[in-house]
Amino acid sequence: MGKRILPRKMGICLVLTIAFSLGSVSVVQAGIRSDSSKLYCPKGRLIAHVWRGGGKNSGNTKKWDYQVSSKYKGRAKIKWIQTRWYSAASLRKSASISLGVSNSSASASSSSSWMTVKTKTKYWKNNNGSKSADWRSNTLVGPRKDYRSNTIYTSNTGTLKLKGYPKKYEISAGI
Amino acid sequence: MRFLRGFSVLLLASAVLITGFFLVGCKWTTSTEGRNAGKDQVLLYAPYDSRLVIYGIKVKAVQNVSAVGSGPLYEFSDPACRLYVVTDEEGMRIVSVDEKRGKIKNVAFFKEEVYPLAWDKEKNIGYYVRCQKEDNEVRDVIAIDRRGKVRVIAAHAGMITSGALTEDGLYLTKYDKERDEYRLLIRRGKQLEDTGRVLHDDDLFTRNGVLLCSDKSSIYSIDGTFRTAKSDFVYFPEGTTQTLKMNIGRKHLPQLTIENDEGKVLKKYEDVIGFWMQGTTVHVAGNGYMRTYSAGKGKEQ
Repeated sequence: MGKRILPRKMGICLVLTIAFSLGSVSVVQAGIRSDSSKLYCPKGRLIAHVWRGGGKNSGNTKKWDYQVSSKYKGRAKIKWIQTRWYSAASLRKSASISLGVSNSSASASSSSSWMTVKTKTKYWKNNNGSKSADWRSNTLVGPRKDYRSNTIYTSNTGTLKLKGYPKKYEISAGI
Repeated sequence: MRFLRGFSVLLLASAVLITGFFLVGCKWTTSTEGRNAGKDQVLLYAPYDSRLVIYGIKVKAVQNVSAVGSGPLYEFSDPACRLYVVTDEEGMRIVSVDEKRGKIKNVAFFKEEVYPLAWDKEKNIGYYVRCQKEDNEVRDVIAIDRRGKVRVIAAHAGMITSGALTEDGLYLTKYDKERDEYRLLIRRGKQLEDTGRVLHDDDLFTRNGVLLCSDKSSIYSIDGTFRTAKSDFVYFPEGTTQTLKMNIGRKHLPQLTIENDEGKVLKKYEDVIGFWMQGTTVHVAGNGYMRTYSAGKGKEQ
């Protein structure tokens, strides 16, 4: 019987490490991201969620689908629930970013230095007893040569008021 | 001997760490006092963000967030009131905004949850509901003057949620969670009395000294002489018959609408961050613009 090149345990660890790395690389390449945060409140919990798809090049622009939501899971009655969100990216030379909703865009200065540019914050509120407030659209940057790779991020803050409780429950998620 | 040497090293390291903390002035708990406004800036309450922001009058945009406290702020329904309740990591604080100096001043601090109910403008007294730490459904009604002195108005008053100060006295709503409805109470002397009126929503307002109640879709006077459609935020400037309403517009941005007493829209402002009052004058702070509207005269200045 020949001599082992590697001890058995080390070999298993190496195989697992390679497999995990390949898995991680594939997720990064796909670029799909999501994040959820939850906050416990009377008789349930508030969950803020943000999802963003992988970036797609479209002519001179780059865009990502996104969805933001704030949901209450529980037994208490809702007075109102709100979601507010924005996106930001590192841009230069007057490049702009928008949220796919009118009057949301913002632009970098004409400088060739990178700067973080944030869109306007957008809002959606339900006060009809609904347990969620959500919105789906896309984020667009252009021209894409003046967008610094992997700097896009989207933030969502959920706020909730329950009947009988004066407190505003608030939690944020971001990717 | 080896043990003693090791123990000495550990003791010395601990002493260095503790001394370091004191020298650096490290606080175990933090209290975010908030940024004050500078030249050509005002401290503005942004209702959809529940935050005080620093608005630049010349640039006509938000230049910073005041970052007072660690969570959402709570305001009184009177648009002239500049008292706010701030969430802190250690509890809750009542602060007042000195508009002329653009500064935030602490009024009182509580370890329990405290929320605004009504404001007595003439005496500068705020009425609040204070929730017990162990059970936030056990609540007291308290009054706090401008010096921060606390007086208990009603102890263990039930699930009090909102209030309004009128010519008749202090009205409060008490939530009945079994029936999912609110009872309207009034303070007479040292007692809270049930008026016998059941409400389906707890938003209360004062319009020139008169109580307004609300249901899911409207705000109305008990005698039926006034009714207006509800909005996310509704304000009744004292000394005028006009109503200010904020809601989310079609572009998912806050808008401010000014209506007359018949519900006719007199003015609409899109992409509004907030507003502040000077007497009956409304200063509208928008993204990229500012407007001054005289609610007393019913027109823009």
